[in-house]
Amino acid sequence: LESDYSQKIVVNADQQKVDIKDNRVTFFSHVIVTQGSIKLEADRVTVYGTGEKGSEVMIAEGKPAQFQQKMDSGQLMKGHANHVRYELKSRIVTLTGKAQLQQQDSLVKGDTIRYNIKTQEMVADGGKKGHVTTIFEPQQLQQTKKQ
Amino acid sequence: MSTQNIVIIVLLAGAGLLWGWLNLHPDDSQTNTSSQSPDFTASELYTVSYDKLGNVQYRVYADSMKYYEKSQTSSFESPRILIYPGPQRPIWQIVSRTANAYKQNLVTFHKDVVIKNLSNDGYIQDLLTSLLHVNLTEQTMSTDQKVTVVGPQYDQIGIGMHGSLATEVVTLHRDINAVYHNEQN
Repeated sequence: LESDYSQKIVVNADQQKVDIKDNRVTFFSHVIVTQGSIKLEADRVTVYGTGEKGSEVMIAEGKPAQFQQKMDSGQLMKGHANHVRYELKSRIVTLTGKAQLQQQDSLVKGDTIRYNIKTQEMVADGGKKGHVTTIFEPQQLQQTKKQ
Repeated sequence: MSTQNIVIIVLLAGAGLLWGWLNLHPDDSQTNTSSQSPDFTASELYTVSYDKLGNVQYRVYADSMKYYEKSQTSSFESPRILIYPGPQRPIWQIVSRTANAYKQNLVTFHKDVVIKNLSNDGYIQDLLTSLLHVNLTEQTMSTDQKVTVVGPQYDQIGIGMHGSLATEVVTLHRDINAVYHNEQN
């Protein structure tokens, strides 16, 4: 949902390591990150903090890490990748390593997929191997074009 | 064998068992300081410990302290300790309601324990718990109680913790729950 990006972020896990010198917190084992309708499941999530409010960077790793968000249209966007990077400030989620995002019957695969959780826009690129990439627009945007 | 001899043997055996039991539980009788009177006391305590090279290892402040020679334990009221893993400056401050120290090396902090990291820019401020064991020689800390990690942009909770005062890395053992407030400027 568009309101997701401004929600609190809750992380649950089995274990946690705090590297105080480096402002780094690592969550281990059965890690679930939720923010509004967004849900991220991974084996490990590392959170890099800075002094600036709301500017954490979260990096999820899994085999693969799973990502999902409910669209404003009510449909569910689901994705996975070996590596999911979420920048709170820019609201950009970057999926790399066998990245895939699926919404209803539209599927995008690529080496890297960048997705804005606020505007719900996505750009996929095939990386060096030039895999075919498809760019799809969430139906919500298509409907606004028809009006 | 006359009954008199039997009685003597039983007494000897009983004495031997008692002596063995006391040896097996020296700590209980020793660390139970409440029944003993302190060998010396101090109020408005301030003490500094140095390493062999003359560098400060830790500073201890307390409203009061009692020392028990027999058990080599000290008890503190409102202790505050500054710990220097490196020679230059203190990296940690630990305060609590009370504390006990054994041989000036193993310190247990009780009630409202606040572990403050002084070296950081404030992103990770305090760790709060109700009980904390600190080994000043090995520079480690641990607890099996709930730990809250406090910072300006999040609240994090876990059960059980082990940390290195030197590397400033702390691990929370289970039931982790963290909330990032995500307040954009």
